[in-house]
Amino acid sequence: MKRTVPLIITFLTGTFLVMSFFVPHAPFGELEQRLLVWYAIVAGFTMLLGVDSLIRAHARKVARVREGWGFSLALLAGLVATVIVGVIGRVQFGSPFHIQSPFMFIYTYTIVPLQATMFALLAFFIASASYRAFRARNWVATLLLVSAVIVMLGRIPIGAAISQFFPVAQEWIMDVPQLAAKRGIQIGAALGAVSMSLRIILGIERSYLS
Amino acid sequence: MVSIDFDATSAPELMPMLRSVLRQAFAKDVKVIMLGHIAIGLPLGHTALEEVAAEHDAEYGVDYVNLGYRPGYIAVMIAMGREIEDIFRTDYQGTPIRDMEITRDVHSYADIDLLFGFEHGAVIDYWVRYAQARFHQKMTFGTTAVMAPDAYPYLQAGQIEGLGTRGMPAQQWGHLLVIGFIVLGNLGYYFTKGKRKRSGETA
Repeated sequence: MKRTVPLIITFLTGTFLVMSFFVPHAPFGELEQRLLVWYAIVAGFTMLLGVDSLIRAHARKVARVREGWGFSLALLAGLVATVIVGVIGRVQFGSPFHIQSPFMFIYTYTIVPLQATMFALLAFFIASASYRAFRARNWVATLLLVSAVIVMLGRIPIGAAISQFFPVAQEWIMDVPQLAAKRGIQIGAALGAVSMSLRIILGIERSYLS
Repeated sequence: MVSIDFDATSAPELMPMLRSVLRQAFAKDVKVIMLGHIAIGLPLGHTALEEVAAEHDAEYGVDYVNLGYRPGYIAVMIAMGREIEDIFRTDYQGTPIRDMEITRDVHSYADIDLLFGFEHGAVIDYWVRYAQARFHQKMTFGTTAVMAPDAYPYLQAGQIEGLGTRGMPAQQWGHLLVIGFIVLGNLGYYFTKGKRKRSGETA
């Protein structure tokens, strides 16, 4: 019973949503809309679950003084402080997202620079990867190397200044071989998604229940 | 309609695109409805919207609005095809969308002339699959350089109207640096070939 009921709900909901895609008229269209709103509400609650899990994991770490507990404490303090300034922003300006609210101050001068700094580290990985991956070991690697250089040069103004060959060649690489590979991958992924969806709807794939 | 589907990690690439699109829109009296599917990035879009709106003396609720963020982006995209108010009953401040001039008569994609998405991830695929394929919403995108190849199939198939790919001077030096590393790597690889052979290394 514990497994049968969820399987029946999955089957009915999945079949109904597939049907509503092809038959948007009453009653399918309205019911589909209702289900979508429910989905958005459930998705909202998953955020609460995430916050709950985050608080529990880090509070436990702080309480037991495990290695790195100071970072967990900083995270919890940051979380509480952000919620407080969010509430202050709401009371003072009607929304925490008002440009002058303290929440936006924290967002602009803490979250944005932190995120940007983390992502900027990628530049070093790209530099390292370009050094290691694009080596002319064999003809396939050489082909990749030459294509990468043409695309990189063709995409920037200096490429066109050197020769009109670069923008034209990069356009061809992007429009023909790149696109062919991309389409193949996308069609394959779409077929995989259809197959997995059918397995879930028909109750063959049940790993989500465990 | 402008969709903010990026966060601070992609701001250097996408914020200039966003600002120029907003400037074009306000200069041509095009109404702007903003929303976003990346919660942590939406305040960036809001900041740009307020800045550019102030430059053009645009009025909130009349010339532009920020609907904010709702979780479950696939559900949001499909539901907007039938009735936007079912998902966005209010804007980001809690003002009912039916109380604002700009959104009073906006019900679905049929009332949106163009969707302009700013993308740094897979949300672009869902916009095309659900809003374009199902509801035939006209759309165009500004993406990060790494995401542009993902959008090419849609562009060539005519599923999207356009893709921002020009105006890369800022990335010029980055590209040249990477090309420099590639050249250096290959020079090193070439000149140490004999040494590696003697020591029996294969790669």
